[in-house]
Amino acid sequence: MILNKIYLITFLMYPFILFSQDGNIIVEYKSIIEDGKDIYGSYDYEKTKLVTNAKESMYFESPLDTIVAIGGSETYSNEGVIYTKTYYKDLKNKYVIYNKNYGIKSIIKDENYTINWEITENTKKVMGYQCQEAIGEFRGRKYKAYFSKDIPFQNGPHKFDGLPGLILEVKSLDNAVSIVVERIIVDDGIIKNPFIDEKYISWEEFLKKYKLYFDKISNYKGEEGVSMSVAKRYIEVFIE
Amino acid sequence: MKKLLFTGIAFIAFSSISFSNTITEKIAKDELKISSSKIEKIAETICCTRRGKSSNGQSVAITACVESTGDLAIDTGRACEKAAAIVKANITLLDGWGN
Repeated sequence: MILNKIYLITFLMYPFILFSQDGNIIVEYKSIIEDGKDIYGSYDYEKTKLVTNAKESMYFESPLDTIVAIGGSETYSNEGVIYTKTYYKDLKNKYVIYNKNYGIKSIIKDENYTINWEITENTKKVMGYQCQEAIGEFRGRKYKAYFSKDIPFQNGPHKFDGLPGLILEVKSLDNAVSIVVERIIVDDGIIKNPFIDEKYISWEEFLKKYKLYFDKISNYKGEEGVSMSVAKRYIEVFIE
Repeated sequence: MKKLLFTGIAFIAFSSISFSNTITEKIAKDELKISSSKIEKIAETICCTRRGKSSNGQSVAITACVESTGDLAIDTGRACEKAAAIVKANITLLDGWGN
């Protein structure tokens, strides 16, 4: 009887023992954007990796070699494109610094990315973890996230965080964005801000610079019968 | 009196010829208009969009158009080939365009 109780307690405490707040975990996601509403939407297929503890995290994005037919005569290809973009997040002071700058030659420090989540009663299992649903609006899109209280890190992929557990899945309600967990590993590495000596621009400055960049590309007159544009909408909508 | 009658007949005859010429000219002009609008229709363009990604993460869409030859499959192929080539050529250049 006593042995059974010990087993039960151990079983219930297992996630907390496994994901102690002192150590790190590595969470691998598949991140997809398929926004083909018009030419200003984007397509993106990436494998991403979150290394997090309770205080800070690093998030890495790398492209998945992809060629897809979008419909009609449109296709998307990122064949041969290689990069790793890095996000450093300070969860206590609530800011994220990153170098995925979409052509703007700057490092961005975003201190204004809070999402006001509304936690619902709905639940579902994601990769075997019991998850609860939350709905929130973030920079032009409405998102549905599933987080697990069994993994006690209030973090998630990209800039998604602020829920009482790790976000394992986040999808936009317009079906354009989908980030879903693929693997979780316990890790004992060190997280360090790689941008400590860099100069940053704010999110608001980035938006202004991106608008100028967008206009420059859109006004480009090249060969006859050719028009060029860069996207307005990624996970975040840069230009309404 | 005879003179007056002759002058009147001559005037009527001349006016009809002139009126008929005006009509012919007008029809000819209309035909020209129709035929030039036909040319515009024949010279329609076929466009194709290709999307790609630069190493800085930005998504780019290039739309290239070619004059139609009447064969949609061939024209689409030409337009897409043109768009794909421009995506490839510009994707690395785009990184240098930001401020």
